[in-house]
Parts: sequence; C-alpha cells; structure tokens
Amino acid sequence: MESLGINYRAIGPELVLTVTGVLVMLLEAFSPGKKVRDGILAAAGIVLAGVAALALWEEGPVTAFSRMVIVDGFRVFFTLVILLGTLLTIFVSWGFLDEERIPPGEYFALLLFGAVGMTLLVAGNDLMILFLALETITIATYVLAGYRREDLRSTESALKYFLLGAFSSAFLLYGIALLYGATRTTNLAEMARVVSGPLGQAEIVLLMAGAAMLLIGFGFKVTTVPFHVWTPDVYEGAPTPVTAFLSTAPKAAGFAAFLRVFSLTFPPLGIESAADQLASHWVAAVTAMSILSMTFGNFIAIAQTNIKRMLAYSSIAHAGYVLIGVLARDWAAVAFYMLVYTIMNLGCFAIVALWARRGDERVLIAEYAGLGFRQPLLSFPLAIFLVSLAGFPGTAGFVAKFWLFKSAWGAGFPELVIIGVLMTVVSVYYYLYVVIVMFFREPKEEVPRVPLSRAFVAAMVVALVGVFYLGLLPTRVFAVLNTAQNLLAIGQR
Amino acid sequence: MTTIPISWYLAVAAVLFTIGAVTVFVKRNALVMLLGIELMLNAANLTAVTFSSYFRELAGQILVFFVMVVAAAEAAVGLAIIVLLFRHRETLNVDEAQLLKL
Amino acid sequence: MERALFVIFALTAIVAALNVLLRRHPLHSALALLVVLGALAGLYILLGAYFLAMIQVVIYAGAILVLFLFVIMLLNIRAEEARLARRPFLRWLALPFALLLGAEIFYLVRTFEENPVPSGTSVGVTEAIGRELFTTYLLPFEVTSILILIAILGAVVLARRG
Repeated sequence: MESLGINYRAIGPELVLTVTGVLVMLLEAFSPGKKVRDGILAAAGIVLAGVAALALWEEGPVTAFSRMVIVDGFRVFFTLVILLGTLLTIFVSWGFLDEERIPPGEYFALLLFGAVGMTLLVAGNDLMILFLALETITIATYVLAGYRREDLRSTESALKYFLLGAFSSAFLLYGIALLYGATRTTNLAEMARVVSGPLGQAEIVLLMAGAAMLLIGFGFKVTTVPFHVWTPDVYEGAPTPVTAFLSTAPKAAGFAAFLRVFSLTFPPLGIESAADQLASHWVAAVTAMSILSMTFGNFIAIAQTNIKRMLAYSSIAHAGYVLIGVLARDWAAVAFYMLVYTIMNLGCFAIVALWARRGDERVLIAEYAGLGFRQPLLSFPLAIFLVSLAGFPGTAGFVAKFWLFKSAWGAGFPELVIIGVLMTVVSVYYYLYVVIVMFFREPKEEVPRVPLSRAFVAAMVVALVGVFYLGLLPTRVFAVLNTAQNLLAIGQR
Repeated sequence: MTTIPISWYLAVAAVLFTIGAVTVFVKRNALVMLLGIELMLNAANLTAVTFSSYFRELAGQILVFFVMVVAAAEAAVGLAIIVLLFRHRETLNVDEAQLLKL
Repeated sequence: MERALFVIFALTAIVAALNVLLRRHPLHSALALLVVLGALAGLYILLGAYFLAMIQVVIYAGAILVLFLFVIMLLNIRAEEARLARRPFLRWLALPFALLLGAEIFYLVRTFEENPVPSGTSVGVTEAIGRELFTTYLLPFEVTSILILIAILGAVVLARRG
C-alpha cells in the first residue's frame, strides 16, 4: 500500500467534508426538513474538517497519493479560509431556507460537496486533480445559483453561469492538454522541473498556447476583466446567500490554484529557461488583466443602483487587487487578502440577504434609506463591512491592501500599486454612498422591522470580530503566514 | 509503412475546437451552445490522446477518461437547468432572456 | 492505408462539426455531433487508444449524446430562425478568434511536421488503463464519484416538480 502513497491524513479535511455531506443527504432522505439538525451537523463537519486541516500545519511540504495532492502551509491556510467561508454561508442561508421553503439537507450537502472541490483545488498538485476539483466546484455552484426554481431570474442566472462556466472549462482543458504535450506530464512538480530547463521550439509553442488557454480558464473562474461578463448578472440573479458564497470561497480556491500554477510552477528563475520565456508573457497578460479589473470594476460599480450588482463589480475590482499579489508571487499576502475579503464580503451579504427578504424583493440601494438609526443592528455592521471593503485604516481591509501593495512595491510593480491606490480612492465613493443613503436619506415608506435569527447574529459576531481582530492585531496571523511561506520556499529548493 | 505526423491530429483538434467555440459565439439556442461546448471538449480530448500516443505514456488518456465523466455530469446538470428554463418560458433562445441579458 | 483512414475519419469529423454549427434544427446539430464522436473514436483507434475508442462510443455517443437527443425531443424544440445571435459583440469576436486559431494550426503543422505518431502503438489497452487508474490515479478516480454524486443531486434538485 505504501507505494500508492495512500495517506488518509493528507486528505483529512476532504474526507470529513465528504462524509458529512453524505450524512446530511441521507438524513434528509429519511427524515426531511430538519433544518437545525442538518445545519448543526454541517457546521460541525466543517469545524472538524478545520481541525483536520490544522493537524497538517506542522507537516512540511510532502505529497501523497502518487503526488496527486500536496500538504503544505499554503494549502492548510487556504483550506481554512474556504471552510470559514462555507461556515459563514451556512449561517447566512439560515433565514433564506425557511422563507423559500427549501429542503435544507440537499442545500447543505451541495455546499459541503462544493467545499470538498475547493479544498481539493487548493491541495491539488496535478492538473488532473485541479480540473476535477474545479468541475466539482462549478457543478455544485451551477445548481446553487438556480436554487430558487420558481424564480425566472435565478434560473436564467444559472443558465448563464453554466454556459460560460462550461465554455471556460473547455479552454482550461485544452490548455491542460497542450501543457501535457509540452512537458509530458500533468504533475505540477514534474512540470516545474521540466520548465526550469530549456525546451525545444515546438515545446515552447505548446507551452505558451497551453498557458494562455489556462489563463483564460482561470480568468473566468476568478472573475477578472475581460472574462468577467457573467459575473454581474449571475451575482444579481442567484439567491443572495448563494451570491455570498460564490463571491468568496470558490474565488479564494480559484486564486490559490492560479498561484499554484502560475507563480509556483512557472516562476521566473532569472536563467535561460522555458519558465522565464513564459513568465515574461504571463506577467504582461496578468498585469493587463489586473489593471482592467481594477479600473473597470470600480468605475462601473459607481453607476449601479442594485446593491448585489454593485458588490459584483466590487468583487471584480478586488480580483484585480489580488492579481497584483499573484504577480508579486507573495502567496501569504494573497491568502491574507482572501481571508479578509471572505469575512467582510460575507458580512455584507449576510445583511443584504436578510434585508432582501423572500424572493430578493429589496435589493436597490435606494431601499436602504432610513435604515441607519431605525435598524442599528443592520446598519452599523453593514457600514463597518463597507468601510472595510473600501480599505479604511483600523479595519482588516486596510491591513490586507497595505500588505498586498507593499509586497507588490517590493517585487517591482510600482505602477500597479499606484493604480491600485487610486482605484481604492474611487471605490470609497460607492461604498460610502450606501452608508450615506442608510443614515442620511429619509425612507419613502415605513421601515419594517426585520427579525434577527441566531444564526445571523453568529455570522455577525464572527465577521465583526474578524474585521477588527485582523484590522487591529494582525501581527500574529502575519507571523504564522510568513513562517509557512518560508517553509514552503525552503521545501521548493 | 506510412506514418501520420502528430501535427495532422493536432490540426484536426484545433479545427474542431474553433468550430465548437464559434458555435458557442453565434448560436442562440442554449442547447446548441452546449453542443458546441461538447465539441470543444472533444477537441481537447483528441489533443490529449495524440500526445499520449506520441509519448507512449498514459496520462493523456486517463485525462480523457476523466473528461468524459465530467462531460456526463455537466450534461446532466446543464440539461436540468435547460428543462427548468423551458418550463418557465417555452423557449431556449438566449436572446429572449428577459431579466438578465445573456 | 493508415493515412487513408486518417483522412476519412478527419474529414468526416470536420464536415460533421461544420454541420453542428450550420444546421438550424437542434436535432440535426445533435445528430451531427454524434457523427463527430464516432469519427473521433476512429481516430482514437488509429492512435492506439482502444479503450478510449470503446468508451467514446459507449458512453459519450451512447449515453451523453442520447441524453441531449432525449431532451430535444422531450421539449419538442423547434428550428431556429435564420438570423444569428443578436449579440454583435460576440459575433464580432468570433471572426478574429477563428483567424487566431487558424494561425495556431498553421504554426502547429509547421513545427510538428517531422514528428510522426509511432505506428502500431498500443499503450491504451484496457488492462494498462485500469492499472493506472487504480494505482497512480486512484485519488482523482475517487473524486469523480463525488462529482457524479453532485450531478445526480443537482439534477434532482433542479428538475423535480413541486
């Protein structure tokens, strides 16, 4: 058995999530409709998976299952971000499930299986695992986007997401096939070894074409301009808790895979090698994607009247910022950014979901008027999350941006940092606009009282603590991440 | 014994991929767009099998095996969404999407 | 002989693929795709990928595409009108895209002209694939089970009435 590299600990988080997912599904089949039981079981499974992931923290970079998966700090940290995102999504979905009378078991099972795909995407050390994990995520999320079946908007958003998702998967797959042709392998570690030397002319062509296709595929998945066209419509049409999920956990996983492939497998080595030839091209392409995403996302967001669309464009803009970190090849900064983004964005969407009510009736920014002092338990947290998204000092959003920009500056991308800072200033406008509407505009009609569920309060507490802890006392997390990054760098040598 | 250069296979695959992509671009029926995507997947498969034979190594063929599984799963969910949409509005024309522009 | 077979299969695949694109009735497009899949199975045999040729016919053509045909007939989808998509942006994009890939093909053919596929290779026999699948690729193989489970669950969730 040893020769196969079977190591159950190495896929501990994935195993726990899968078993929990199956369990929740079976319970739903035999005694349906018990939301609290299923929800607590799903949450417990996620926490347990987190423990299983933490147990891998001390392990250096080792591979398992014939080098299909890798255990390193990079993977553990991103796994934790994904699990946190999934856990918060369960809290955010709590009221939505009752309102829409959705069978909770299947919904939670799909979330859990989607999370399995994401953690595998982060763990994958082989393009085959990456492809399968990505498909696992997208198929689960296509279904989630269309979950409000009697609502045409939800179905249309599912169709759009599906068609463009499958289209981008085809590019990704063609890219994988071409890279295989260039390097004779689908294994990332092996590929890194092959491209660290010079390659023949034909192989170089294949490598470039394959990497370009892969870039298109990943560009779609992490919603960067010009591959973002599906984002606003899908984010608007999908049920709000699902939008919250889509914009956080799968994106964190997507960026992790992006980093793993482009920054860790094809790093510029500064010597005459295939990797360097490739790097000069992909750095240019990703720089363009980053600039386009930041400018386009932020400027279009200003014009939005629907808060879900506004947050969709803001999500595109944030993807642009994260790409700066990908270019700087500082995965710790990207990981921290995705942690912070997951927390503040889910916090935002928790309130948007609660305020939107059944069928997403109230999603216009104008409909937030008067929320301010009449519903302080909604308006103050929302204001804090928006301010954090804008990157005000004292919040986690500031620290995350600062770290990202600082490392990009050090890595020689000052022009990107300048554009990033300017665009951050632009973004302040539309984030603060919502706050102003909430506090200083008089509502047209009576502001209704919205009951707060315990799950909502739990989500708020976790998100608020996260925003302030990471905003004011981030040094501990920094230290942990830096240690992991150094370990990984040593392991690669 | 005549042999076939691998470029021929790769060229056929590239042609199929292009036709598939153009199908997705120009067609309006969601189902036919999905057929175009299947064409693209098959083109990628042909590329992988070609390299696999050329290298006398199996990874490419295993990849194709997995792609078939993925295609089956994707078709099941995609067709479910299409059936659901058809129940809503009796057409699969993506231009007639009312609430979201497709 | 091999070259003749290659030309037959390749031309069939390309002509049928063009039919997928150009036919106006979805049913005709789906049937054309069926022909493409069959022709590709022929190419797989020429490449020595016997196992894949078999499952290409049995699973891809026999199961996946039949699912498509089933849905087309179930929904009784009519032929499209002659005009193409009302999406000028995308149509504008299709032409340069096709040209770009055309250039790529030209380049590929030039760079790989002298590399022939080893004739009579047979790495792709069922035994070898099975061995690899359950040793090296054990984990991805297990992952596909989750993928299928999600697809079943998702299809049921979306398509049931109620």
